[in-house]
Amino acid sequence: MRRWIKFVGLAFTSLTGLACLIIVAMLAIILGNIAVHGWPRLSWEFITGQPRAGMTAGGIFPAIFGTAALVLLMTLAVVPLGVAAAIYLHEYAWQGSKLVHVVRLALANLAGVPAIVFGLFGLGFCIKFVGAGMDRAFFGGALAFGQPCILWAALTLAVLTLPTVVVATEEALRAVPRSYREVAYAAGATRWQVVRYVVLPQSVSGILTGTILAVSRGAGEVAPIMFTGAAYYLPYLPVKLNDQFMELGYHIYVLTTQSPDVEATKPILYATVFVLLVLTFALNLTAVLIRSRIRRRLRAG
Amino acid sequence: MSAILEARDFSAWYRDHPALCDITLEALDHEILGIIGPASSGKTTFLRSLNRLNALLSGFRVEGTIRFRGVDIYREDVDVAVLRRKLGMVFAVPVPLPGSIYENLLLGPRLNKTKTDTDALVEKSLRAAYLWEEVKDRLPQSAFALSGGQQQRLCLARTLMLEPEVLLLDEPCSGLDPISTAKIEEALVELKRELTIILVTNNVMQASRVADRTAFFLQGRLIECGATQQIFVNPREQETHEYVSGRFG
Amino acid sequence: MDRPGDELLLKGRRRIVETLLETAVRSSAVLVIAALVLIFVFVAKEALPLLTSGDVHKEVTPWTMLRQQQDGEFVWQPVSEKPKYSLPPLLVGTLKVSVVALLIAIPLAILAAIFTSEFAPQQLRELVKPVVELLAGIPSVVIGFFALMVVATWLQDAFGFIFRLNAITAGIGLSLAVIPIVFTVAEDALSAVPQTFRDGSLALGANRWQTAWRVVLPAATPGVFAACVLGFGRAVGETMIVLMASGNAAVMSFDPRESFRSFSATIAAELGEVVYGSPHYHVLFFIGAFLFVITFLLNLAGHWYVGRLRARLEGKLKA
Repeated sequence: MRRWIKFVGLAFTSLTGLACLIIVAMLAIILGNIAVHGWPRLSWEFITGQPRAGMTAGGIFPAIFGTAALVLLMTLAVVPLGVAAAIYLHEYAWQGSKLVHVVRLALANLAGVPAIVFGLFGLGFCIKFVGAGMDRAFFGGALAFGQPCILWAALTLAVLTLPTVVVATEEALRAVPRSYREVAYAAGATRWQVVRYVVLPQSVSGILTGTILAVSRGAGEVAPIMFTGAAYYLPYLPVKLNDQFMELGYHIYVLTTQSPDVEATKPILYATVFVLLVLTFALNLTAVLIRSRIRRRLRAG
Repeated sequence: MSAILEARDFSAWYRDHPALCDITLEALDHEILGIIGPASSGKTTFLRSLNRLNALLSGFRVEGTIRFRGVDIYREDVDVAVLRRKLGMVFAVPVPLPGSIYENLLLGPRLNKTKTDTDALVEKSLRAAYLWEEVKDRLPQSAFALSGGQQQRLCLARTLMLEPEVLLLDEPCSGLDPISTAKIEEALVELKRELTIILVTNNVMQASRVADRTAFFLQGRLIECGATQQIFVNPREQETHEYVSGRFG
Repeated sequence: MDRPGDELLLKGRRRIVETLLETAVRSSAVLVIAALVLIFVFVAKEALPLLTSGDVHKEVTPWTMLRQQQDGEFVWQPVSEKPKYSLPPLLVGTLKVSVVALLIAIPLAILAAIFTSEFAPQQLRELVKPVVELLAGIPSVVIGFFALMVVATWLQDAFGFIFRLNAITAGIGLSLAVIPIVFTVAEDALSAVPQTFRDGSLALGANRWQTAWRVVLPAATPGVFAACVLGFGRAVGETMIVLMASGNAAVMSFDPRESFRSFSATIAAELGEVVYGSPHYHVLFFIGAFLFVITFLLNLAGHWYVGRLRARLEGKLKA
């Protein structure tokens, strides 16, 4: 009987370990496949050049530039807002209050909203409501901001990544020992002074982690920007807030599903996917490393 | 000597749980007032009520008054930050903040944006905390490199940088070695000349060594308060007698 | 006469600055709520004409969308001479791919979570969790690309499907996106079970797998269930993977080997060419609002179960 139990136990344990292995293998297969097919096509020209010959040759610099510009705008919007909201939740609000409860509920739900619904939000609110209103008020009805452009795409992504920044910032704030705050209060600090001189300086790595994760998410999401500003081919780079832009993820989507000659564009496609993957992977890895370093430091005391 | 701090019928609750009951107690100018009593007797609660640090906890409620130089500190229009500078606090566990020794000391002046000569004040505070000789050449070093006793003296010096009128100490020597304890006690006796000191201590012997007057708390009430000599040799209340002679603790 | 205590009293200017700062951070928190509300309001606003406008009703009403359109068939064909809007094909498509994805993701993720929290040594745990986080960090467009380019070919070579892009292909891709969330929530739930539960069981002579199977897992059930619910929500809402790997055929079929169309993919595929203000436009927004409500409810359910787990564990501890 003992041997039977032991056998079942071993089988069960192995099964769960196998599941882990399968998941790790899935990750490895995707990364490996894309690396193997994408790496050969990579070159300096690819990263810095313009697309040529109907996307079968040349480079993808405009898409890289567009992605970078998009994500930069998004960060400028989401980080101050997210950090401020987290500061309110953790440093200012009375923990039992109704407002705190509702905000946390809203955050959790915001994180679960489908990406395409964010796209609809960008279209219905940013473009058709705010943008159209701005056109009426400032541009005499001419079409300036009431159309898809990098500003609205960035704002849409900012709302999408807001939960990421708030959660990461709160985690960082929570990690600051209560005793530090007590010492500061006892020395005559006001609430804001405690945040500014004691809490925030200690939370920088955590906030950085959240920012990096948000950037990685923003660079990878396509559905929210499909109708709010991304374009397949543009002869210009986005320099004004109401310009459209090329973007890596969107480029991949269009090239994959609408390319007239799949075999010809395959090398470029794989290379583009490789670039996007490396970018998001590197960002995620950095964030994970920073986070585990913070957690290790905390455990050491 | 006049009373610089005066509590009158002061009571406090954490939500529905009573912590202090009708405390009437004075701290006289330039004295060391010791507060003794077993755990959960309300000593720390009382101390934290003096600089309103208990306000950080939600559900804390008070009744009665505490006056500092005649002003009821629980009035709506009192600037709590100013109050907490005038009544500086040192905690039981030394809490050096991340940064150098010098940066730790600058906490007070930074918060108040005072224009006093900080270097002179740094030396003065470190000397008063009996720490100057040991760290005068190590000011840029991390505060975490100091020993436990040194860290606590640093915290004392940090509080002195606020130039307070009253010093509130919450079991400052718990967990320190006897030498560090002795140094801190010496420092307090010297500081008495410039400030008033209220010292909460678990160590009955420490009170007998250092305090001019001693108050005995038990289960949130003030049982007895008087000259230290009298409390230890000839207490009026039975409970005081039992506690100081070690019958319970 | 100036009394010595007067300097204690509050100066006006500093109070103003502090109040301003507090208002600023509180407004940021309120903006979070506002964002969620605005999303729903403006999506629903564009969907409203479907319920209220007579012009739209000439072409489609919420009731006709649930019924057969022509020749007793459910057809979704908004772009044709006589537009047909029938939701059931999209519903079946969404459910089809979600079921496939969950059938793969839930067992894998939960077993892996059990391994990570109950059997794995610390070092392995610190390897698996970041790996799952990295998996979560792969953009869905990349997963969709992989499913379409690679998985579809493998499956076709292995099983000879008629349709290269179908619910199985898309379901496998989708599972890659669902695994991280199910794993994370389930692992959190299992780790939240206090060590005392395990110690008690081991002290009674049970070995580790018996402890995991009979003590820890039952204790963490609400949390594990929440993981599945949240995973389902993720599957229903995912757009890019399904858009790229489903074949985009709005056919009503329960066969997972056939191409299909999901709600979110429909919006993504058709919103680009739709005429602003047309009935088709409003129907797409209606589907969006519907998706919002469904995932909102699933999220609420999931978090309610996590709350139940916490309450149950705390209750047991008190007892």
